[in-house]
Amino acid sequence: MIISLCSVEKVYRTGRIEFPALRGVDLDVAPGELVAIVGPSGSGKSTVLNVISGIDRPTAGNVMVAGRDLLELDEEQLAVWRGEQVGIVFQFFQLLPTLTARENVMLPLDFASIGTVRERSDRANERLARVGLGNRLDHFPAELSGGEQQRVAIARALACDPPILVADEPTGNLDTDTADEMFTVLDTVNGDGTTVLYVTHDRRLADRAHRVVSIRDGRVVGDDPR
Amino acid sequence: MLTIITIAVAIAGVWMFAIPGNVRGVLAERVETDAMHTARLAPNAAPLDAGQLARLRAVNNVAALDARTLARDDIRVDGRVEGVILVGVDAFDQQSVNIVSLEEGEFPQSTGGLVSDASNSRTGRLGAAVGDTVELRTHTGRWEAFEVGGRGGTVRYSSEVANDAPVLYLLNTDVQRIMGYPAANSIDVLAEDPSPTAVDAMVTELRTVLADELPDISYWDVLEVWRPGTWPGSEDIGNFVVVFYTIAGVALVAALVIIFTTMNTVVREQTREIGVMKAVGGTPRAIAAGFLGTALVLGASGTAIGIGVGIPFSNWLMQFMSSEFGGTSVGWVISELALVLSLGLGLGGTALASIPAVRHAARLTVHEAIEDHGVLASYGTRRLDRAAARIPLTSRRSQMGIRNATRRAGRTVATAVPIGLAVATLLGFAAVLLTVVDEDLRTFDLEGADLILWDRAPGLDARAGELISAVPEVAFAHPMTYSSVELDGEKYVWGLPAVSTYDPELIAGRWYSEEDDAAATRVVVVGEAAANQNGIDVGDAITVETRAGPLELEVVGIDGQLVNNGQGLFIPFNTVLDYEGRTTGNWWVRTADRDPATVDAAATAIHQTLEANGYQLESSRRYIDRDQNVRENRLIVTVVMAMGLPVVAIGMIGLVSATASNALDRTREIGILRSIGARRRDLRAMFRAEGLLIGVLGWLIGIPAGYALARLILYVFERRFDAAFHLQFPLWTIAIALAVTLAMTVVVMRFPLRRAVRLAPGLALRYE
Repeated sequence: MIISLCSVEKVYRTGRIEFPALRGVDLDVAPGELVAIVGPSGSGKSTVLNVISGIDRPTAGNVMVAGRDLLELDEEQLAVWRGEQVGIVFQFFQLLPTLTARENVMLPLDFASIGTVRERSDRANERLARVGLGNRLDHFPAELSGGEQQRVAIARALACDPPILVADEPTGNLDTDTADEMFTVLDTVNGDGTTVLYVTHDRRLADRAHRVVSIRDGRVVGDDPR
Repeated sequence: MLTIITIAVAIAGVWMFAIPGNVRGVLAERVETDAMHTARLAPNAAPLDAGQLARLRAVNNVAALDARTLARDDIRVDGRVEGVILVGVDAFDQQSVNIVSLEEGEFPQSTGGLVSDASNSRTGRLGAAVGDTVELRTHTGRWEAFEVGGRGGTVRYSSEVANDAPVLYLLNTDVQRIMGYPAANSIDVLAEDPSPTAVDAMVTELRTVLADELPDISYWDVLEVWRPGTWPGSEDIGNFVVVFYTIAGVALVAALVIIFTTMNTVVREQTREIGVMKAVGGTPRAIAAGFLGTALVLGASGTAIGIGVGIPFSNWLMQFMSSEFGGTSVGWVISELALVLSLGLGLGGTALASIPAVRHAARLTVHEAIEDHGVLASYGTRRLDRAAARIPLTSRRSQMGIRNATRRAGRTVATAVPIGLAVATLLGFAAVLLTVVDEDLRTFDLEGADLILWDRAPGLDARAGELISAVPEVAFAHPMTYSSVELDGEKYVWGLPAVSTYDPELIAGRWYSEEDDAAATRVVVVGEAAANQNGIDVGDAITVETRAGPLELEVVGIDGQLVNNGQGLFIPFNTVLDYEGRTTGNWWVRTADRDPATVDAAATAIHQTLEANGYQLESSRRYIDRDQNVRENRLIVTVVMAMGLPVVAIGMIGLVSATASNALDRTREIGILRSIGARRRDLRAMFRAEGLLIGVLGWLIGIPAGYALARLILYVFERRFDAAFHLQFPLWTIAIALAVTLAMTVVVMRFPLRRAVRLAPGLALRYE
C-alpha cells in the first residue's frame, strides 16, 4: 500500500473547545489508484488529506505514506518529505501572488534543490504545457482566470514528480465546464501512474474515480470501488 | 504591545526636552546658593588689609567681596604626580562669594587641611577620599602633606574639574605659603545689580580704588564677568540643546509614523470584523469611536511606560551634563513641562496618527470589508511589481522577499522611514562630532609644535632658547605666549614671533613682520570668525581689554585657519610681553621627525639641559595632549550616541512590528509554502530578504537625511560661534551605518519570525 491509515484520530482544540474531526479512520490506498473522498461539510474529509500529506498530525493512530511512518518525522523532515512525495492542490488555488506561473511551479523544485535553475525552469515549462498553459508562463496569478490558476496549482503539485497527489475540492471554485477540464487533467495525471486522492462535494465528479470513500462524523462509512 | 513600546520610547525621548531646562534651573539655583561672583579681578598680588577690603566692599553695587588665592600646583597621591588647581579661602566660616559648601566631612580649621572638590572623584580625576593624605609641591620643590578633611565645592571652581584639573580648597594662608605668593590674587565680587551697565560701572570703580590702594597693581588674567543667566558651562549646554531637541523631535516623528502604520495594520487586520459590525448595524461613527478608543488606550499605556522610563533616563543624562558642563551634581528632577508634553503627545499624537486609519475603517463598505483577504491580490499589475520582477536574483527566497516588500509598498516605506530617521540621527551626530573633534585636533596640528615648554620662574629667556635649540632632536624652537583679551567675549591671544611653527592662511592683509615683532608694534592678525563677529577689516583699529587694561591694536591681516574655531587673535610675541609687562614666555619646539619617541627624547634632553642650567621647567608633549583630547571627546561621543538610542529603538521596533504584521498577514501563505516543501530556513530567508530591503531603503533615506541633519546642527553651531566648520561626512560612517542597520535588522527580525516559522502548516492554513 502506498497509503495506510490505521485507527487514525484527530482532535482539534480551540481554547477549551475540542472538536473530534476523525474518530478512528482506517484507509489503505494502493499505488496508482484514483480515489474520491466524499462527505458532508465538517465530516473530516479534508482532515484525512491533511493527515496523509503530513500537514496535520493525528492525535492517535498510525500513518504510513510512501513507505514512511509520518509520526517519526519532525516538522522540518515532513516539509522536505512532502515536497518530494506528495503534491497538494488546494480549493482556492493558493498560488503565491508575487510569483509568475512558471516561478510558482519552480518553487517546490527550488525548495528541494532539484536540478539547476535552467533545468527547473524547463521542467516548469513542461508541467505547465502539460496542463495547457504553455502560453501563460510569465503571467502573475492576478492575470489568470480561476481555471488557469488551478491548472498552475496542479502543475506545481506535479513539479517534483511525487508518487501521490492530493487535491482538496480542486473544482470547488470553478464552473462546471472548467471543473470537467480540471478533472480530465487529474485523470491524465493518474493515468501516468500517480496515485490521486481528491475531496469533492460533486457526486458527478466523485463517480469518475476508481473508488469512492465516504466519510461522516469522522468515520469511514463507505468504501465503494467502481 | 509593540505599539505601546513604540509610544513609550517616543515619550521617553520627549523627556530630553526637559533636560536643558532642568539643568539650567538647577545650576541657576546653585549659582545663587553659592553666591557665584558676578565679576572677578585677577591682580598678580593684592596685599589688602581689612580697611582696604572695606573700601572695596563699599563700592557702589558691591553686594559681597572676597579675596582669594588661586594657583596651579602639583599633587602627589600614591606616588603619582599630576596638576591641580588650588583655591584659597580666607576663612571657611565667613565666606560671602563663591561659597564652598560641604557634601561630606569638615572644613579645615587650621593649616594642613583641605577640601577636595566633589567633582574630583565624580569625574575620576582625583580619587582622594575624606581622611586621606595628599602631598602638594611647595615653591621650594619639596612636598607638604595635607589631610582631606571634607568633600564639597562651589559652582565656579567645580566647573574647572571637568575642563581642566582637580580642584582643592585650602586656607588662603596655606596656598600663599606653599606657592610663595605674597598675597591674594583674585578678587571675587558679587553685584547687587547684575545688569551689564551697573557691573561695568562697578568694575571701573573697583579698579580705581585698587589703583589708589595698590599703585603698582598688575593683573595676571583678564576681567571675568558672568552676565545674568550665565554660568560656567552654560554655553556648552546651550550648544547641546539643539542636539537634545533634534533627537526628541526625530524620535517623535518616527514614533508617529509607526503609530500611523500600526493603526493601519490594526484596521486591516480587523477589516472583516468591520464588515460584520456594519452588516449588523454598526454606524461609521461608532466604529471610528471604537478604533479611536483603542488608539487612546494604546497611547495612555505607552505614555505611562514612557514617563516611567523617561524620568530616570533624563535624570541620568542631566547628571552627566551638569557634572560635565557645570561641574556640579543635581538632584532628582521631574519636569512639569515634560510631563504635560508627554501626556499631550502620547494621547493627542496617538489619536492624530490614528485618524487616517480610523477614517478608512469608517468609510469601508460592507462588501469591501467582508471580501477582504488581508493581502493585495492584484500583484503583477503595477509597474512597481513588474520592475521588482525584473531584478535578477538567483535565490527564489530573496526574490520572494523583495517582491513581498514591493507588494506592500506603503507599509515598506512607512517602516523604512523610522529606520531612515534612526540612521540619519546616527550619521548626522557622528558627522557633527567628527567635525567638532576634527576642528579641535586641527588646532593641535596647526600649532605645528611637538613640545610646549611652560614659562616658570626664572623665565625661559634667550639663553634658555639657545640651550633648547642646541638639543639634537630639536629642529625649530621659538618663544611664544598664550593670553586672552576681552573683545565681545573672551578671545584667545597667541603671541607668536613673525616666523613660527604656526602656518597661517591669510585671507586678507598680511602677517606681521619681524620688524613689527622686534619693535613690539601694536598690530594684530584676527581670526576669520572673530573678524566676522565684530565686523573687523584690515586697517581697522580695535580696542581690546587686556590684563593690563585697554589696548588699541591695528588689524593688519585676517587669518582663515580655524584655530580656536577662528576666534583667535595673533599678536607679535614681543608686543604681548610689552603690554603685559613681562620679559619671558613659553617655548614651542618642533622636533626633527615629530615621532613620539623623538619628542620624548627631546623633552628629556631639554629638561636635563635647562635644569642643569638653573631653569625650572614644565613641558607638555602635544601628542599626549592630543590623545587625551581624543579620549575626552570619545566620552561625549558615547553620550550623544546614547541620546540617539530612542530613535534607533523606535526604528527597530517599527521593523519588528512590520515583520510581525507581514507574518500575520501571510500566515496562510506560510502554510502553503510549508505544504510544498519549504523549510524553516527557507521562510526565514524570505522574510530576511524583505527586512534587509527595508533596512537598505531606510539606510538610503538616512544618508541624505543624516547629511541634512548634520548641516542643520552645524549651521546652528556656526551661527552661535560665528565660526566656519568643515563638515566631515566620511564614507566609512555610511558603510558602518549600513553594516549596523543590516546587522540590527537581522537580529530584531528573529523574534517576530520565530512564531511564524514554527507554526504547524495545518494551523497556518486554517488561519483567518
